Amino acid sequence: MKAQSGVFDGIFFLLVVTVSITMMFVFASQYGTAQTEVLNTYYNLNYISALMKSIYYLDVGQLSQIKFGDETNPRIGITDPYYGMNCQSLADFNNTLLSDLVKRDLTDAVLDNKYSLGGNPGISAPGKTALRCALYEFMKPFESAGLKYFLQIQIPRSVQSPDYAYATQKLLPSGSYPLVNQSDDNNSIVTNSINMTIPNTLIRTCDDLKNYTTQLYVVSIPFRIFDSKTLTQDSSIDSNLNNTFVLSFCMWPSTEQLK
Amino acid sequence: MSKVKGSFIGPLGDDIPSIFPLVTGILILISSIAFLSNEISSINSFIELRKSILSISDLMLQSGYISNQTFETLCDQVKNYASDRGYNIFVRLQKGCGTGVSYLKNYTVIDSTKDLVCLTEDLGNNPTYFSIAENASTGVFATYPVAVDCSERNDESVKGVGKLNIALYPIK
Repeated sequence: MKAQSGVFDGIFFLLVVTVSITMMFVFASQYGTAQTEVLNTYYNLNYISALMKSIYYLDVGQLSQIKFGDETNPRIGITDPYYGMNCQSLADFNNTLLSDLVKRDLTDAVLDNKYSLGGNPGISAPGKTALRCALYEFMKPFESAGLKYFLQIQIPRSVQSPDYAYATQKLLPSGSYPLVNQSDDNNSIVTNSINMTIPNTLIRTCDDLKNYTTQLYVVSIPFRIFDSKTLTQDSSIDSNLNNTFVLSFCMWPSTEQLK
Repeated sequence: MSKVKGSFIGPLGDDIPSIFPLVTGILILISSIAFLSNEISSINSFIELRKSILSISDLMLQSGYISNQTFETLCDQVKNYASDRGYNIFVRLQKGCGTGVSYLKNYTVIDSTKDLVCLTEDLGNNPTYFSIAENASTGVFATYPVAVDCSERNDESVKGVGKLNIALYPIK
């Protein structure tokens, strides 16, 4: 009888060991997952920040030889709505900074590749085209990995608005109006991503994506234009802020089904 | 009358059958703890490696533009940073002056006429990312967009698209 109880003790010990090891393996399988996710997010935000900073330095003429949507380098296997995008036209703007060209384009508060003030006819300032060519080049790794993105120009709310106070502190686009591009129904979004539609939702700001994806990367920077005259008729926006825009970049993983 | 002792084989002998599951359990427990400890240690090392490469990228991307001279200065700093932590580093500033940057070029040889390179370990002629993979069992890689100097003459400052490749891997 004593030997039998000894064997039972041994088997019971084995059972305890098995349960303990199972718990340890479950713990180990989860170990580092949260840190890895934080590091991935940090890298993605770092990448976008680097992209946004480089906008201030790039020479527009250097973007003119980027092969994008032209006949020599079509994007294979997809319908490209941007076919015919003419980065070559930027060759006329040698020795012009990309940020300066975008500011010039935005002088009339419309990002439409030209500016016109005081009733003068539009003068060519392809800020939107230059931005798209630069984004196409820089976002290649993420686009081929299935992420979508857009860059948006927004007008912050007035100082009196609590939303704007929040926006200025956090540099989030929450308290900002999208700058509606009057010449284009596709508002102020600058993107090269395909099929930017969410079921039952019109994407107007990064906020619209919050309920759509749990992985939304947003970086916003102030973008000041000193000689901007008329930006909006909205009386709720403080006139002192009229020449300060917010440039917001949003990126999120696509959930499209591969065919 | 002598008493029949049955299966009793002594105070120690009775416990012999229970020794086998006990020893087996202890062996399994110790080997599992050793294995998991090793795994967690390698995960920690990998996380440290990734944190270090992000710190290095923070240092190198203070500005959206890296000139040739700045690259040389930053190169010395990141080499010291990496060496102090027991890592080798490979940094390449790839210039796409006028033509844009091919992201597939990560795996091709360095264009010595345009690219700037900073490394702590001699990877032989024409090193690529594959060279690093051959030299290190664990390594992390990062790529960032940056504006680079595309001036052909010293009196002109033209900045084009570029790409910063960073690879970090432990010293053998």
